[in-house]
Amino acid sequence: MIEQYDDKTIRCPRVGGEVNFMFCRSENNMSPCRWIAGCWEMRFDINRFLEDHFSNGELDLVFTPPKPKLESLVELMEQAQKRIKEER
Amino acid sequence: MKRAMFFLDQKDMPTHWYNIQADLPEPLPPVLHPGTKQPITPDDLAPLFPMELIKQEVSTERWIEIPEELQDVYRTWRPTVLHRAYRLEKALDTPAKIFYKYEGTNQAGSHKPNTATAQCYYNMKEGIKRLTTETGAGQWGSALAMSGAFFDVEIKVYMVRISYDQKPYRRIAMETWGATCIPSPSTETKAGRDMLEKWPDCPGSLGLAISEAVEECVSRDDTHYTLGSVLNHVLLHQTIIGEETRKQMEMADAYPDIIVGNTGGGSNYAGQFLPWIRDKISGEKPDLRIICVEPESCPTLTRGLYAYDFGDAVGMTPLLKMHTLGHGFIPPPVHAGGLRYHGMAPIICHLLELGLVEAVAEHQTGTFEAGVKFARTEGIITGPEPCHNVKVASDEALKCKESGEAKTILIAHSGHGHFDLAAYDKYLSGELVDYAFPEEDIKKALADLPKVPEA
Repeated sequence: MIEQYDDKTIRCPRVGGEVNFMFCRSENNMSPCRWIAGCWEMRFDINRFLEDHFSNGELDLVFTPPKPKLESLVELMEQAQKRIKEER
Repeated sequence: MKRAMFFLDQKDMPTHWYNIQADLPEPLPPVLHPGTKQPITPDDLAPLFPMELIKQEVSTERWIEIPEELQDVYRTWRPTVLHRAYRLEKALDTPAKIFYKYEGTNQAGSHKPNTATAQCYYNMKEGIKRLTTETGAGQWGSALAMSGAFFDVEIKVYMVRISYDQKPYRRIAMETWGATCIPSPSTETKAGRDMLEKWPDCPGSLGLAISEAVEECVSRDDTHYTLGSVLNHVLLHQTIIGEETRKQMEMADAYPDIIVGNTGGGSNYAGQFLPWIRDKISGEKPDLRIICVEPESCPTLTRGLYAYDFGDAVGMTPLLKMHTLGHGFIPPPVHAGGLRYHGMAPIICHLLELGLVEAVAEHQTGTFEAGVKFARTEGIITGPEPCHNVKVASDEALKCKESGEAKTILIAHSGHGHFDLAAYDKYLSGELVDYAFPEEDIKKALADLPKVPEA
């Protein structure tokens, strides 16, 4: 059951406050945060959890090293422009 | 009389930011456009940032003047005080001299206004009326909200919903300064609406909040986007911290042997250490130690380095493969490695690669223990992140006790923890527990990585 650890909490260094596991397994556009293994490894078998609930392809996407910040901002900007154009 | 505070007169406040890009032994690698794969140009960034900030992002001028009008705003809280931590030294029974530069005394309670005000100023000068941004716990949103009030710029903050619900006081502070703070995902952008349609109770994420802030920015001509860490111009604005400290340490007739700071996005600590590292680069102070401290649970610098270099040497594909479960284990160092170019300032990563700074990771209970000791000796309730520096500085001071050396230790203290008392409550009630990867697991994970030829 994917919700089995949802009530466990941890301080998230990115957000700067307490979050529950549900946040960590879904914060990346409904996929796990790429830090999830690091933050939860010692609390329970996070690798097993990921293996049980996500495909290898999904996890490859999750753990793909992110782009440099400026590059990702330009990409976000272009995606936003596309979304706006589509909506109009 | 033992002098515990070193005040710099307002007339002596530095008038220039220091730009490390002028002195880097090797320049930063260019940032490539995701589509063209060519270096990003100022035009690519123009929809997001004012031209002056874009110029600062790539400038190699050593000194960049702080505009007079901005200096006047800085003077509403700067210069900040340099403290000598006599009481902490006594509690640790150390011969070390511990100094800390405290950035928590400004109106928003952290170092963030040093760049928030600068970004508002340059946007205002270029006719921008509105700024959007994202915030997690609200520290950056608060700083920007206050800065918007100073420069009459409208501020809209997309706050990750989970924090928005948990930290109402941050939202109220932002609104008091005149900003609009809304929970992300929101119905105000297509990105937010799409998510809410899929998941009405979505707690949000930083990624989504950024998407919303950027989308709103590009949908209006009068609006730009702002970011409170990571980027070169953000670190540049923070160097006023270290430039002030240099003058104050001179007043104290001291020079640091060790500088300690925590690195999240890296902006506060870089603001402190960049003005000192030029002495190390020039060879004047080759033994100066600059220690970056990070949480043990998210070891971006300490355990990520190896993995990223590995990936760099052979290209992306093998690195991606290592993240798959087919490999039998998600190697924590690998998973953390990619973060260096996301959550961490490229300048800090670059300096680490050049061997000019070092990195350590600390467990959370130890950092809160140090934070409580600091509160009970120096009086300041330190934010959870700078508690990491207090811990490492205390450890270094205890090493001095063993060796008998009277080293000078400088702590970059980014702000107070008045909005993070729940974390202290957990520590004091014994609910905080340390978790970290066993060294054996890490060794095993690294041993399992495929062998690659040297670059």
